[in-house]
Amino acid sequence: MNKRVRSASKESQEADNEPSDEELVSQAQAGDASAYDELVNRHRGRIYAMIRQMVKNDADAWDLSQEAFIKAWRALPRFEAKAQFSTWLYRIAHNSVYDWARRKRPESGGELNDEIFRSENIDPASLTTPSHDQRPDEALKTEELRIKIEAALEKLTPQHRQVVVLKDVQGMAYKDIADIMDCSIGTVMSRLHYARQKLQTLLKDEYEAR
Amino acid sequence: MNTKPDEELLALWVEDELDEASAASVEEWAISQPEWVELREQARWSKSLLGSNLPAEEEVPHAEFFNARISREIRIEQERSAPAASVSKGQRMPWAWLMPATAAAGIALGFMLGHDGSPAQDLAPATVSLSPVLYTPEKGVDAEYVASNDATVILLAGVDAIPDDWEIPETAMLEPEPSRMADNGERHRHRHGWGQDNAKQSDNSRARH
Repeated sequence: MNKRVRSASKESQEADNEPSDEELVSQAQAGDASAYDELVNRHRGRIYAMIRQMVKNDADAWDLSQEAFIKAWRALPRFEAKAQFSTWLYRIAHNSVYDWARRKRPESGGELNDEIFRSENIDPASLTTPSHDQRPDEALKTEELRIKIEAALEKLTPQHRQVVVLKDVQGMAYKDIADIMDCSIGTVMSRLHYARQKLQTLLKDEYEAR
Repeated sequence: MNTKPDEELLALWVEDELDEASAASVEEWAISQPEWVELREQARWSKSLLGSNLPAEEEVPHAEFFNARISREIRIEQERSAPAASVSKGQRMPWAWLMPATAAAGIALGFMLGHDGSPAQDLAPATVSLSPVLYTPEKGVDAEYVASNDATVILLAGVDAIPDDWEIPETAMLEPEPSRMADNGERHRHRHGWGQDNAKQSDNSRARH
C-alpha cells in the first residue's frame, strides 16, 4: 500500500551531512547518474502528488512524472544555479502536464476544456488510497471529502487548478509559482483569487461549515 | 498604515506570509476593508481544506521501478552520445605490426578448414543478445517472454481473468502462430520475488538458432 504524506507544504530540511540539491546537480551535470538518482528520490513524491492532482489518473501521473525527470536530465546542462532546482523541476513538470493536456484535445485550438479532465472513476481502492488508523466511518467521510474536493478542482481550468494546487497544497510562494507557470505575479494573484472564489461556490457546504 | 498598501503587500497579508511587524501595519488599513478581509478568509479556508485533504507529497507507486526506468533512459542517452573510440597516430597499439601477419594466417586457416571438406563448425554470433529484464510488480504473477523471428509475446500467468464483455482493441489483435513460436522461440521466465538476477539465471532460459 502506498503511503501518502500529508505533511506541511514546507520543503523538508536536509540533514547537515547530506549533499544539497545544488551539490547533487553539479555532480549530475558532470555525468554522475547516481547523483541524479538521489535528486529523483528527493523530489519524486512532490512532483507525483502535484501531477496526480492535475491529471487525476494514476497511470498518466506516473508516466508524466517519469517524463518530467527524463526531460530534466536532458535539460540539466542548461540549468543555472540562479533558480532553485525544485522550482525548475516543477516548471518542467507543469509544462509536461500542459503538453499532455493539449495532446489529448488538439481540436480545441489551444483553449483547454475542463471536460478533458473529467475522471471516470476515482477508485477508493487504488494503490494510492491512504491507509490510516481511522474508524471505518471516519475513513469513509475523509475519502468522500477528498473525492468532493477533487471533483471541484476538475471543474477549474488547468491554469486555475495548477495555481491553487501549487499555492494551497504545495505551499509555494507567489514568485515561485510565477516562475513555474511563466507568468507575472499579478497573473498568479488574479488566477488564485478566481480559483478560490470558484471553489468556494462549488464547495459551499464546506465553506459555510468552517 | 492608513493608506492602501501596494497589491503585492496586500496579497502577502491575505496569505498570512508577512512578518509580524509588516502584518500589523497592513492590517491597520485592511481590517476596515471587507473585501480584503473576505479574501483572507477565503485563503485561509482554501489552504486549510486543500492542505489537509490533498497530499503535498505522495509516494510514487513502484518507486524502484520508477527510478530504474529513468536510469535506463539516461544510460541509453549517454551511450548514444558517447563519442566513438578512436586511436590516434601517437597511440597505436604496440603490436600493430603483427596485424598483417595475423590476417594472412587467419585467411590460410579458413582456407584449410574449408578445403578438407568437413563442415565448418557453427560459430557463436558476433553480437551478444541481452536477456530482457522481466519485472512483475504483482505477487504471484509469472511472466514469460517469448521472442521469435515473427513475433514477440509476453505471457502473464496469475493475473485476473479478462471480463467477457471487454473488447480487445484493434491494435492488440494479431494472428497467433503458436506452432512456429514453439519451434524457434527464445523463452525467458520470471516469477515475482526472484529479482532480476534470478530471472537471468532461470533454468528455463534457452536460445535456439
